[in-house]
Amino acid sequence: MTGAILEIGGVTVAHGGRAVLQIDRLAVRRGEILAIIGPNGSGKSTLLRIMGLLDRPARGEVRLDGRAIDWGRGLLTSRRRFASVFQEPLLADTTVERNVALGLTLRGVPAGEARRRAGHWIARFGIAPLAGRQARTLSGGEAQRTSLARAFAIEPDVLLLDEPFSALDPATREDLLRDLQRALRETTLTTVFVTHDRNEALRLGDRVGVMLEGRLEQLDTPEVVFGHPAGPDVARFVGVENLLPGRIASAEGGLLTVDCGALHVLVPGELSIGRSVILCVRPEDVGRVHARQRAQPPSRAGRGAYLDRTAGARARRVWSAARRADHSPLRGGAGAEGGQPGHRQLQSLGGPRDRPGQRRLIQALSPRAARQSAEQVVDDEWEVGERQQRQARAALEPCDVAIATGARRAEHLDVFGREIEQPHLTDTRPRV
Amino acid sequence: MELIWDGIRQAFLLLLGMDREVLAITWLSFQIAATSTGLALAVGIPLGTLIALTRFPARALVVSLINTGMGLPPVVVGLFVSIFLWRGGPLGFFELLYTPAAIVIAQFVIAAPIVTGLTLAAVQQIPPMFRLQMVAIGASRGQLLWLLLREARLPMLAAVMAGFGGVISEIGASMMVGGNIRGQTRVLTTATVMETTKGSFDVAIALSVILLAMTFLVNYLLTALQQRRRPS
Repeated sequence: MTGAILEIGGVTVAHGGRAVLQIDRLAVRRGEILAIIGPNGSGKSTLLRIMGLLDRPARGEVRLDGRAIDWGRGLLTSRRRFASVFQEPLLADTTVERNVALGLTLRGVPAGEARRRAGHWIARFGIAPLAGRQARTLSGGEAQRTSLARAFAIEPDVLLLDEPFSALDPATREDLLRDLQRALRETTLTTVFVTHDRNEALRLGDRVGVMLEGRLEQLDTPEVVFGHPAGPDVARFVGVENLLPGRIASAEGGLLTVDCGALHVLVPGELSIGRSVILCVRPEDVGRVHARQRAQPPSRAGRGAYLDRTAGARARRVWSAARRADHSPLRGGAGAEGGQPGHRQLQSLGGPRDRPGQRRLIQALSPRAARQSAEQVVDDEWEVGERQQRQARAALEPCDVAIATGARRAEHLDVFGREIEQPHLTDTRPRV
Repeated sequence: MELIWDGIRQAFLLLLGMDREVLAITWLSFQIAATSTGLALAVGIPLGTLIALTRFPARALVVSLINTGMGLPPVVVGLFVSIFLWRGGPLGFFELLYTPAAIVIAQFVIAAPIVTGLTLAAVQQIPPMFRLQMVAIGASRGQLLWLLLREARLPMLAAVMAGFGGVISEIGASMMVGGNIRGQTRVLTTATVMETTKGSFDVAIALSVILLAMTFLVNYLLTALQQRRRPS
């Protein structure tokens, strides 16, 4: 690929006979911010260490600027093109200023120049008043700022961030995330950012890679990863908290009714009746219609109608967008088009987002329902938050429809305020 | 009590009067202890660092041996150094027995495990991630060592103090390999023993006060260095 500054290929790392990392190919483009997300123990940090030339993989190749890394003599020179920030701010036992200048000192940058550059980044990360302080007297947030300033001062070709905020309290994290975001935007530094926090990935990443059990399951723009997860595990991790296994009960006019047991859900799509599917439903994608006003469900068995927060003319657009929604076969799924019933995931119930974080219009409406909802739908967009969740729950009470949770939070609430337990969902998921 | 006061008074008189013999003994004691501590540092710091940073088979055994060595009885060291330096011994041809050099060798054997063991502990208490972080911001192998030792400098100074304290105060080895020869290998500790056995308690006390004062002075200077930049 052109424009790749760092590439790794065929890399395998095993600990005690168990493969902890297996990456066929990963290219970091020059100037991009690549966010790698995954749960703890998924191999993210191992991957980052290999990228930073800190660990040599047992097998595989790392290429910098298209040239394979020389793990012998030339290693130090190559390694000095990187700078890393780890979860814990590991500072030397000296002043903040000297810590920030340390990377430059190690590279033989003259003292005056090193001080000047360190001073710049100390100011950028808002720790100028602390410049003369001993590093060990700093708070966690201050120390992490120092650590970030130290990495930026190096002005590396590739910046590697390994969960730099996970040890900080939410308020500190938010401040620091904002400063980092600004610094990254100004420098256009090639950055690989590892995190288990989806929000951080969504905010910072130009591209997002999802790692599960040592493998890179998906690598794409945040829009695609969060909107069209490559499989149920990825979906679960990227915050689709409601994975509803079900079966297609009816299909007409590009609209499917999925029988999920306790409830029926309307989604756009073209699949044959009887198929097993997993619905990935994002709470912020769910609209609703009051029970007394709801549209007639197209299926006799349906209990609810759904899903639109738009009003007026926009409803029509939702519908046409919904018709275009794409459905790609589940990765590793046994012959989606083959003889046995394939398992498909109905992805992203609508068009892709315009930009990360933006709420999307949603869901499936029959043309008739769309028309009705255009007139009747209650505005029900809600922000994530305790208060809003309470409101949402209260507002949804008279409604038959399930599926609504605090977006991107751990809560799993359905409309009736019951907990939807994921293990239960996992168990009932059709086996592939 | 009078005896002690007399001794202390005597000590000051000896010092203030610049008693040539006492000054010579004091100076020799310091030289020998400083030399042996210096040699122990030269060997113990690299060795301790190496063991702290590497993994090899039987590492636990080696570390245990070093820790045992930290408490090596000086008489045992004196005995074996004597045997080695004995005219008929393996190193006899150097003709070092009953010279200051012999005392330095014996004291080195006493101090080296202390310095090695404490260096090992000092470097090992630095989190492994610190090493990785230093490498990740561009430290070469040599720079990493330097950064680690700088990071461990406070406990390292404790190693210096412990090493010096161990050798300046020991007597068994100095007596056995030095022989307490007047004007040649007589040091503060051996002189103190001799004066005590002679019944010259005042001189013995004077010598021990001088020994204490010197030990205190050295430790005070090192401590001042160690505590210099502690945060308030």
